[in-house]
Amino acid sequence: MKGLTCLSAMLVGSLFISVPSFADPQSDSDDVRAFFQKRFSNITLEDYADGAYALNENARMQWEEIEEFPPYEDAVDEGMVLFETPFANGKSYATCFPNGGIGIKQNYPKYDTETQQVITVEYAINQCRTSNGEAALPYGQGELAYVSAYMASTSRENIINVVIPDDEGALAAYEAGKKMFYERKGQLNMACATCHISIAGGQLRAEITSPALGQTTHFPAFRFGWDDIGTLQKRYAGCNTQVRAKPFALQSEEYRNLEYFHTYMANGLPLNGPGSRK
Amino acid sequence: MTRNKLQLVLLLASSLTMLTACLDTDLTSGSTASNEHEHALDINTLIEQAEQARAEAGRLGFEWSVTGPLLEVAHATYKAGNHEQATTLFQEVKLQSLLAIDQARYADENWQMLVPVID
Amino acid sequence: MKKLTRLITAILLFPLLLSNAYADSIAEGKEISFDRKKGNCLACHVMDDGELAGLVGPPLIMMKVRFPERAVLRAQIWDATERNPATSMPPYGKHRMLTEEEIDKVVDYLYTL
Repeated sequence: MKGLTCLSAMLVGSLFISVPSFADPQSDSDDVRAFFQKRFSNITLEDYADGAYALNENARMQWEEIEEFPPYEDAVDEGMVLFETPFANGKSYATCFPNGGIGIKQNYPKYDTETQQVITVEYAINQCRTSNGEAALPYGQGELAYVSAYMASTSRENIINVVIPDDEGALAAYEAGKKMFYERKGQLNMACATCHISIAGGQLRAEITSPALGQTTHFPAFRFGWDDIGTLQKRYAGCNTQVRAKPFALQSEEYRNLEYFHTYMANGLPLNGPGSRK
Repeated sequence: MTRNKLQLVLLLASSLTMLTACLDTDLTSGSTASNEHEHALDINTLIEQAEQARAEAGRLGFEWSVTGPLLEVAHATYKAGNHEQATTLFQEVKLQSLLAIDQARYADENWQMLVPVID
Repeated sequence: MKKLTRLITAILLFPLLLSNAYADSIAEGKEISFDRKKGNCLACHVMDDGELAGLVGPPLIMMKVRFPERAVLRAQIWDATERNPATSMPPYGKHRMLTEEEIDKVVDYLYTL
């Protein structure tokens, strides 16, 4: 009898231990959506592409006025010129991407099973340059952000479709990004999730914190604080600094994994970048 | 009368003590020649500990953004010969880094706490 | 008689000194609370005459009623995760964002609200 009790105890124990350490990305995404649906029952999934502006009528009206004369238009134009200018070897960005680089941003970030890493659009842009004998561009802003903004503009309205292949490395990258999103960091001891899940939609000073869901749709974005167009990872670094955590290098493995998790969450939402944000 | 005088002195003295305490003045004196050698050894060990803790926090991806600039100030203060203040600064770097390391350990165990749970 | 007057003056002066220090502490506490690089309490809390206050945390009113024990209020500022591990509030004392003295002043100030 005692042996049986022991055995069943061990069985129950092993049940707990055998819970897979890798969460299921699809069910993660479902949970986040269910959470937000409960909190903001009056907005649709597509509305999340508009960030905090979906939650506040006043802010939304101001934003729509700004979007009538988009502050990112020059950047997109410049990006197009850069995109179409051939490299010294005669090739161009178009030769590095599927469909000549047009209308494909919804498929990024991708996981490259060969090199076992997450590839973002910006990372791929620099890969394209270096493999064609050009110098890599600095990440975050400037020419690289303009090229990315142009590529985003050709992908507007396309539905985000980030794929996590059935590959141990891909799941590990997703899981690392997920951990990074939820762990508390910096002197302020705050996670991405603190502002963008726990208190999402809440008012910090005069600003409304945007929900995590849909944040990736409109980057690169023109932010008035930057007075320029910048990439999603530039914003990551800004968030880290705001909670007094030392930011990672742009396009580091850490940030690429984070972008993988962060964008997967937005699968099914339409791209609307480049966008403008306060 | 003498008793009154004493009371007055005591009263004024206690008020003064209170006042000085409230002023938050740093009353610690500089190191004397006799412990100069020992002090030099201490600060070198402290610098090493501060640098190591900071490197570990960085390796774990949990370094605070304020720690690096503080370390620079600490080194500059030390070079300028202000060892007393440099000690305080290096100690602060070490403490911040140890807290960041604790944060990393805590995160490993508890990061799922903020994941939304649907019931 | 003259000495007695002096004594009385001193006795009267002492609490005045104390109350002056207390008033200073409250004023400094308010400054620390409002300073974006220090407490930045207004980021999340409506309090006093602070402008552009956030709404994420509870308004800081009736603090004596809500926190009859000074130690409890102080602990909440020191490290709010002790009471609620999922809190969004930064641990001002534990993470050395404010000094012990600064937190005492903030507490003095909060009790006037």
